[in-house]
Amino acid sequence: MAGRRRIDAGRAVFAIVVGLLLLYLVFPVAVLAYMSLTAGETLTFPIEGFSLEWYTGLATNDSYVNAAVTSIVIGVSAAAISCTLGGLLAYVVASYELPFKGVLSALAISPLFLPPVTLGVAFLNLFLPMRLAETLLGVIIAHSVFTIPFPFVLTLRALADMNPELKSAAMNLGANTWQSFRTVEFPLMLPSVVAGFIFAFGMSFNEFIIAQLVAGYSVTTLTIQIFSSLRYALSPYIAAVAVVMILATAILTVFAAWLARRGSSSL
Amino acid sequence: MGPALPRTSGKYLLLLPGAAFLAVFFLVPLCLVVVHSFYISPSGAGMYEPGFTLDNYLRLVQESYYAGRVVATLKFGIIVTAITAVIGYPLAYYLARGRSLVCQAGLVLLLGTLYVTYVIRAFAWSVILSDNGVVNTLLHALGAEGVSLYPGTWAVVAGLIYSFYPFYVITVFATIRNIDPSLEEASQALGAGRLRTFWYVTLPLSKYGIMAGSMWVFVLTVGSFVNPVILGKPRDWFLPVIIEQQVQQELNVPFGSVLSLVLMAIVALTVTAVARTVGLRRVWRQ
Repeated sequence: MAGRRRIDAGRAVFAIVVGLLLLYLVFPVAVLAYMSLTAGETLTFPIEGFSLEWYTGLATNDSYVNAAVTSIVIGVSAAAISCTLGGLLAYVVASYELPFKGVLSALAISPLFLPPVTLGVAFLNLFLPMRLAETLLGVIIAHSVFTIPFPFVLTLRALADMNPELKSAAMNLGANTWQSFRTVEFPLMLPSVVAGFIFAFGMSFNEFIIAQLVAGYSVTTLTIQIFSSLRYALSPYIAAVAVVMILATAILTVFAAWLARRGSSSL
Repeated sequence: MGPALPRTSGKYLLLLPGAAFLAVFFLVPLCLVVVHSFYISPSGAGMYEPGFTLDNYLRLVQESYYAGRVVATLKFGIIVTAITAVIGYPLAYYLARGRSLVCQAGLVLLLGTLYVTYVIRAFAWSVILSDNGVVNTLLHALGAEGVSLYPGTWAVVAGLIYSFYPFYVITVFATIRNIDPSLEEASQALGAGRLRTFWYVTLPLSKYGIMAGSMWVFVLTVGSFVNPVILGKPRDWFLPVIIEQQVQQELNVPFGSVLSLVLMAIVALTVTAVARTVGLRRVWRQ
């Protein structure tokens, strides 16, 4: 009996701990969502009446709208570049014998490990003499390098999971390399490539310090806009824009994770 | 065997765009960081002057402020990693073993917040911990004294843990998922209690996940810029903030490059050490 009770107590403690941890995950987001609904001008707790004015105001707030557009342009361009180049690299690494495969993979993966601030400093070291610093193109290139690991790895994994007999079957039936790529390999790796694109976009869209270092004060992304408004006044606009950004990122990431899983399990 | 030759040259052609892009925009910049770390620091206008000097490295050793920042970087890394490793484990275990709806929702939530910008995460904690924020308002309502946490060291730690523990939980989650549940059942069938089973079966089998997850948290923490700036006082600023100041505000690229190399070395040593014991494959399968 005593043993049974001790186990139940243990279970209760475990449940409480897990509950607190889940709360810890949700709490800050919930606080922001709650704060964004204030009718007041400041972020005080509790809020002074309910209103959606900060959300409706966002649509007409030029600095946030422009920053969001800039972020989307950078994110889509960077994701397109990193998916094309990373996907191509992964395809070559997975399909052919190469003398320096390890070095190549390490090169494509290592941006994931390096602290973003050191990547930013490195880009600046090149971009200052190239006159790419403080330009949109500079930020796009920087984010392409920063986001390349995800498309590379996801594509590599999709190709590694693929049944190699599919390709040889296509070749035996008379397809050439290009035809077999187009009709067999590409359709099978597509979900992973799309997932890689979304992950890369999400990473670029949410990235701050690389963009800040490369862009200086000339290009304003959404994270740069939020960061600089934090330094002046804590307006409820920031809470509203944060909620929108969290929702967008959450939906995209979960969708990409689902695609990536579907991509490698369907093979 | 006719197409052998075009296929061999074809693969190098396919390789070219990606390899060239990474060489020019990733390898060259990294090499320039090394080169510029020996350049002469600017006197007046300009970001650097070409030349060769060891002054930038000597400055790191001679000015105790910078050595102190290196120590602070490691300190934050270790504290945040240790706390995350302990508190993240029960959640990872629950998400991996539970089957309830809460469990599914928790996993989706965790994945969904994985890439939410650190700017917003830190901002949320500043709202929670500020003097008239959520925590203090609740404390006052309960009749207790308020606490002044923001800005301060523990606000930075709270923000860092919040920012990075999803990465830890996901990594450990994947490891626990791969442990065959029948091992745990066998242990219990042989008379071990839940606690004993956990201690002698589950925990040892998930140690590689714990190490890989902790490595991620450490690497992300020592590289974080946003959290210390938004949630901390200047004494809580460690290497990334100091690097940004040197490069963007002092316009001293050579010294910023030296500090960058120190930070990269810390990360490289950590990753290498963990990859050696755990195996690189496990480190970054999420």
